[in-house]
Amino acid sequence: MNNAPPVRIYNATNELAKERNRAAAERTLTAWIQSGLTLIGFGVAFDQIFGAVRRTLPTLDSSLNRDVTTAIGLGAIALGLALLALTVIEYPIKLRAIEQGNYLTQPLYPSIALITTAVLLFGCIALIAVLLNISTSGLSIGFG
Amino acid sequence: MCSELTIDHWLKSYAAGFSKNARGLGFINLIYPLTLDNLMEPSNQRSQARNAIDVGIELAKERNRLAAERTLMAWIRTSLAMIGFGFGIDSVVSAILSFQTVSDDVNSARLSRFLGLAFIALGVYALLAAIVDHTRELRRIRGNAQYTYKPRLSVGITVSIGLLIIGVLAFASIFIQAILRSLA
Repeated sequence: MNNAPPVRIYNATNELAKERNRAAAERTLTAWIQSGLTLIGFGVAFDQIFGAVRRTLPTLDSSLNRDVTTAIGLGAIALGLALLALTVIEYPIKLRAIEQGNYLTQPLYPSIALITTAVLLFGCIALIAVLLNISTSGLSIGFG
Repeated sequence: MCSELTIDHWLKSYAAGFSKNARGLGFINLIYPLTLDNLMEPSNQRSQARNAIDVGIELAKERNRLAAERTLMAWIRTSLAMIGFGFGIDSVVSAILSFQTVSDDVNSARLSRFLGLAFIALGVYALLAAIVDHTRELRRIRGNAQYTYKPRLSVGITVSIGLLIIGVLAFASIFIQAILRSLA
């Protein structure tokens, strides 16, 4: 029985592979940042542009009222923030896994399924909100 | 390689070339029997063993260089999205408000301007940091020293946290504006 800790043998190919894994993790992170940016940007733009249009053209009869656009904008921003928060938690775990000596493939994280479901739900809620708003304002666009 | 050649070896390899031709191995060798294989013969086995290791590492280094390049391109896309959005949101809101006939407060325009500037600043920072990281990585790959993976602070984490802060500020600002509007 040999209780001595295993000697870590230097292997350049392994070291290079670790660096590639890190680069791949970073590219995945940028993809998540882009998704978060899209959601936050959409939320901000939706609220701000709608607010500017309403202030410039106060007599414009729109099927969407200010509160609904603000709610949709805030929802998108909240979703983007949740996504980014998950990414900020998950990425260091991946890096730590790479940096440890004996790398083992991590179990599949459910975050991608979670985020996709959340975006889908957000889209459905926004659709229902817009449809309800159109029906209560008497279909003022298109068929008005 | 050429320095390892001796007249004796040259003659032997020349003869070997002819003997191959005698077995009908190729038309070229009949004209010029001193092929590259024959020239490399004395150090062939030793160099093959050395090349088997080196080529693996060299190819891995090339893969790393390509991976670093893809990572830089990903950062370019991300930064471009941030800068583009930052520039766009402010321009669009300003353009819409320029048609304004009624004098009103421009809180919303201020928020969009602040957010636009913050996004542009974050985009520029991300791109600069990514360029510095890429240059360092290239230098490490090209270096003669043994390549070792170095744990270090990632650009991605700082950019994510920056975006998170901007997002929280935007959320809070829009939320407070909505509350003030409902109270008014």
